[in-house]
Amino acid sequence: MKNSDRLIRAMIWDRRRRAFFGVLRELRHDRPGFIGLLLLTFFGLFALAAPLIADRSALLAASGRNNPDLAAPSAKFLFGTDEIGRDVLAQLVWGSRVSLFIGLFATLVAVVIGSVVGLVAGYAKGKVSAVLLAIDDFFLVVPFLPLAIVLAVVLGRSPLTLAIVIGFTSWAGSARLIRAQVLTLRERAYVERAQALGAGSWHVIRRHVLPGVAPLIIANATLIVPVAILTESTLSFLGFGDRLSPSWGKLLDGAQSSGSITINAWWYFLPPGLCIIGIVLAFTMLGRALERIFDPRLRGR
Amino acid sequence: MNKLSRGFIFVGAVFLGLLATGLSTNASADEKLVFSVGVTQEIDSLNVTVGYLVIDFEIWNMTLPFLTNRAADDFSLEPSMAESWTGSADGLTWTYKLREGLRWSDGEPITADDVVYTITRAVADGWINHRADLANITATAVDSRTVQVVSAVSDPKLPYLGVYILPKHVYEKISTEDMPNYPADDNVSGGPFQIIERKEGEFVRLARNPNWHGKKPKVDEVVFRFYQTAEAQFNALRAGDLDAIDDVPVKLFASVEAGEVQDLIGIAGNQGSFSELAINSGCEKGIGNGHIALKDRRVRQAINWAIDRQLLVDKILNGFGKPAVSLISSANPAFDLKIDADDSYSFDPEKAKSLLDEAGWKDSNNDDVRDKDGVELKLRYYDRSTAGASATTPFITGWLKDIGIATDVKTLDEDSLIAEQSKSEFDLFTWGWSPYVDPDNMLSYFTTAQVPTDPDVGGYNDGNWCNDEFDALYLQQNSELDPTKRAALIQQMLRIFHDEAPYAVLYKYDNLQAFRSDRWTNFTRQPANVGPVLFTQSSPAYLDLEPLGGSGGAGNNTIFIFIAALIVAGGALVILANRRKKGSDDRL
Amino acid sequence: MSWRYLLKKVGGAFLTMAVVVVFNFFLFRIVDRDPLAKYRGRSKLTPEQRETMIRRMGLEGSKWDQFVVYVKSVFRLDFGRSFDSTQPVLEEIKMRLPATLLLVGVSTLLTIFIGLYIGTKAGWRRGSRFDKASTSASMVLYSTPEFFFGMLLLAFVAGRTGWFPTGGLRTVGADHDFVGNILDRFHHLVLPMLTLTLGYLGSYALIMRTSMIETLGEDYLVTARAKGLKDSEVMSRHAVPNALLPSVSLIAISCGYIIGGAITTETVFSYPGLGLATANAIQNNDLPMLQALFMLASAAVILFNLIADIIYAFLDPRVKRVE
Repeated sequence: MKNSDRLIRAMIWDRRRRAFFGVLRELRHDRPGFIGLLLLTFFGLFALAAPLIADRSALLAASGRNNPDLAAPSAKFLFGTDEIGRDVLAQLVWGSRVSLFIGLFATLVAVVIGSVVGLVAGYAKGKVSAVLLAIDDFFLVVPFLPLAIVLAVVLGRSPLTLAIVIGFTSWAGSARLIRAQVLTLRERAYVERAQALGAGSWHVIRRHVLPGVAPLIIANATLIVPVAILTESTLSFLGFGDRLSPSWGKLLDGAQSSGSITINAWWYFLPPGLCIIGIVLAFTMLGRALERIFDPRLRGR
Repeated sequence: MNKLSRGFIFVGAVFLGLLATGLSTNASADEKLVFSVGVTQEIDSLNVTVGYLVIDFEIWNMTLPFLTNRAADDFSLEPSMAESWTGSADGLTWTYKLREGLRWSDGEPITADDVVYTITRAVADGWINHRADLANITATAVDSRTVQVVSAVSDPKLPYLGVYILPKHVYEKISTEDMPNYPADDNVSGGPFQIIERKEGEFVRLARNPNWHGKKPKVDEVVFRFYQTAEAQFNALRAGDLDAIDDVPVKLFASVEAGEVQDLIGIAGNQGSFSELAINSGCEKGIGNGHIALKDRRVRQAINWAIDRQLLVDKILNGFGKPAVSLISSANPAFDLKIDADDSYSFDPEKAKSLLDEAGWKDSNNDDVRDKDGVELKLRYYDRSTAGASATTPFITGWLKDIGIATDVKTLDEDSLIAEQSKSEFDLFTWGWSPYVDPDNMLSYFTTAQVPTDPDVGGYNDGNWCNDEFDALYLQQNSELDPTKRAALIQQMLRIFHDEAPYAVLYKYDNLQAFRSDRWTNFTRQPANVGPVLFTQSSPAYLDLEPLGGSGGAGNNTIFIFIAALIVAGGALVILANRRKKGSDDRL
Repeated sequence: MSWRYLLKKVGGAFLTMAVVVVFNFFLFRIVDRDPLAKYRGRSKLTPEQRETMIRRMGLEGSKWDQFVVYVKSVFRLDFGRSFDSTQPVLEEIKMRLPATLLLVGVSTLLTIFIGLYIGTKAGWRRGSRFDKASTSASMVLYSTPEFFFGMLLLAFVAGRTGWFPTGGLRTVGADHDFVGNILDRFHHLVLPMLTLTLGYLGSYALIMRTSMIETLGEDYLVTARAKGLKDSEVMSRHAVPNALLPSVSLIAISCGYIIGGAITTETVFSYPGLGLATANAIQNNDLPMLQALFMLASAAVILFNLIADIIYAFLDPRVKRVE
């Protein structure tokens, strides 16, 4: 018994590993997807390498004490300094952690809520499904940005609450998608058979439905990340973000309010702007590529 | 493809055409002399009984009359509505004679009745902006041009009486109940200008008041336009859409000073405005829930020692200001606290730490935050959502952390912060003041009488601090008629404030303003040479402005742009038309 | 389109709106904001005055009482007075609505035209140089926060050249005639409009391209082309109209976002519409204003969604089957 269990598990893992490498292989032939993946790897390494590139203390307000303000790039400050003499590069690398964290964590929140709601709404029938759909409808129509701002202002402005708020306001679309997928899966023969054989709902969802929708969830999640990152930068820019964490949006806000764009301190406003564009582009290209790979109907897009 | 292309070309052409004509409207000549001022602060209220922002005061200064005024050069006493005045021997009774033929902008005469009505109602209803000046005052009309004012105590401020006089025929219709919501949109003016148009969130437009008794301004209109960001406002000035702006970001101001921006001049004026970190000192006679540690003077002093004021001045103000260690009570720097540098707060974290140790706040559980009797030294720190208001926060919280004080930063809108302050439910917050000329108002704010005891009434004492000696000195200076003795009393008060530290006063900052030097000249500063031009104590600058005749900066290149746009539009049409022809046979 | 379908959609819209109304009540009651903050510490309110104000704000009694008052006032379209300006909220919204409708309306139209054009062309000639270039450009546009465009346009176009104003709705105090007024408004509109258009353009072009490709894969089109129908005819008669179908709902839905969509752009350009009103209301914790803006924005999205559903059903007979 034990042995066969292990065997099955090994088989499952083997299948997963092969699926993973299969996706990677397909990605290599999908040019935009591959570029997205490379870009992402770059940003990931950038974020991981933060302590190697700059000391955390360079983020402190008083760290610019002996530095010139808004100094152009030099050997000492590769990306120049901001309006209070802090190293822009240091803020950029540490900011990548904040922006990535918010993007990824918000997505996690959105995907968890979206998957649960989508699975339940698709699998259950009657009242439960109707109520869930009404809630989902509501979150689809509610003006997203104002809601996120209000919640951020109410719940506080730390990166964690921002991520939760953004996630909480952006799950509705995924729930919709997943529900639709579940509905089609439910009609499939093997699911019907499993049910006929007396398998419990949980078992059916976990063994049959979830694996079926997993690729969709992954592709969808990859497309939520960029939206979350954009939202964070917008919140920060509007002054509703965390004023003490150096996210890229916060950097842009600082550049804007200090007038560095007007006096053409490009080293201050271009890097965070390009980083936001880059990371959003990377996730979007990868997400669209994954969609193409997982959903053959979209091939050729 | 055909229809779509045609539609696209049509829309494109309309767009470009409109673009071109839109540009050409710039050329429309304006014969009126309009002085446009960009501001980033929207009017709080035009209602003099509730408004409190500097922009509100500026508009009242321009539209509401005073009995007496402050001279532009040195704040000295000047006639205004009153052409003369006489005082009784004991200095308690003053009789003002109004000018002849004074009229409101709607033609109604301005009489002694208006003055008496304003003073009586302001006292009865407790109008916030009139309160300090009128605390002990009663007024009676002797005849239509004579007002008698009686002060219950001798008052060094008199005969200056700097309260806004309101038109009785308008305000008597508004009940006390409705007053807080009254938008003051009657536009009845007794000052040099009158409001002729206001779009909330957009602009307020003032024209000369034809019935104004004094010097006739050269400008026909003054417009205040609201900008959401200082950057948009600065660019509007640079492009020539504005003639003046206030609140220029320091780096942009530095670039103007350095002559890097054509046709602009910058004026850094000081009138005693300062920023502070308010500390809830937990007055026993007050209310609230300030942190227990802050009741100890040594902890408040430690906070003062932990702050590097010079760095704040260098980094946040770019040098346009100077460090300050005690209350700035007057726009006149002669009143500032004179104190030896050795005797006063410098940046000395070690000293701060030893004061905290002495007060018994030590880090007993090694979490880098000091504690005492199981209470952590973690303070609520409020900053404001207003743009730029939080620049000092990362500096100060960083320094406090270095001496073992944790902070929990929360950003509040200004109204909410005032509400918290009215309950004294805070530990620390940052804000600032712009003092009047006479120190009395600022000093009165820190007497026990101004400590909030009822959240609905509130009080100005936002250090929630009380000190019997300070109170006694306040009463003394308030009735001391000898200026030298009074100044000495005020020095004592400021020294107490310094030592007791209900504030960590951070710095005095300059008001950074920039102007189109190609269009205007004769920018009157108040006080002369050192003060700002806009948003001053009595706003005299608008009466003195001289036009230089230079037209708007924009619009010169209009014809050029018009032609360029036409060429672009034409080119686009040709390209698209060609595309379409070619397109039909080479597809796929 | 059957009556049942219509009823179902309308009913759904009402249900969603009801959820919005309820949610709105609670959302703004979890905000810990002193409704009388404006009046504290400034003017002495007598206890009677305070009571009157609280009553007028509908903040009296239990939560249930408040809810009843709230629902009633929602039906009367009475959203109370702004905490900040102390003026009736509805008046403020009426005052600012036209500016936003103009800005977002024009930008949306522009985006639809340009986006559809680019998307259609790219989808039609898939793999061409135009397709590759436009798709890359659309992706970059999609990835750029619109306020970033705004910031750059503001500093580099408006500030440097003076060709366009950096903010506001109109030239204050200028005595234009009717046409002059319109042109002046337009002049102020150019940069914010350009910002919004660039911000939206990417997603429109991408979606249109995708739907064009999907349409081209349909059997009847393949047949039509195989039968030797002229490409231009296939395109204008069959491909474009069918590819437009998904865009119809996209357009309707984005019309619904008119109100919420302009927050950052209006902030950058100090353009006093509803977006700026929203940003200010949040900054000032102006709950009545926020509540009303929220309700309005949600209602707009719901309404346009409904319109999209109905149009869709008219245009695409297959919908009946799906439902």
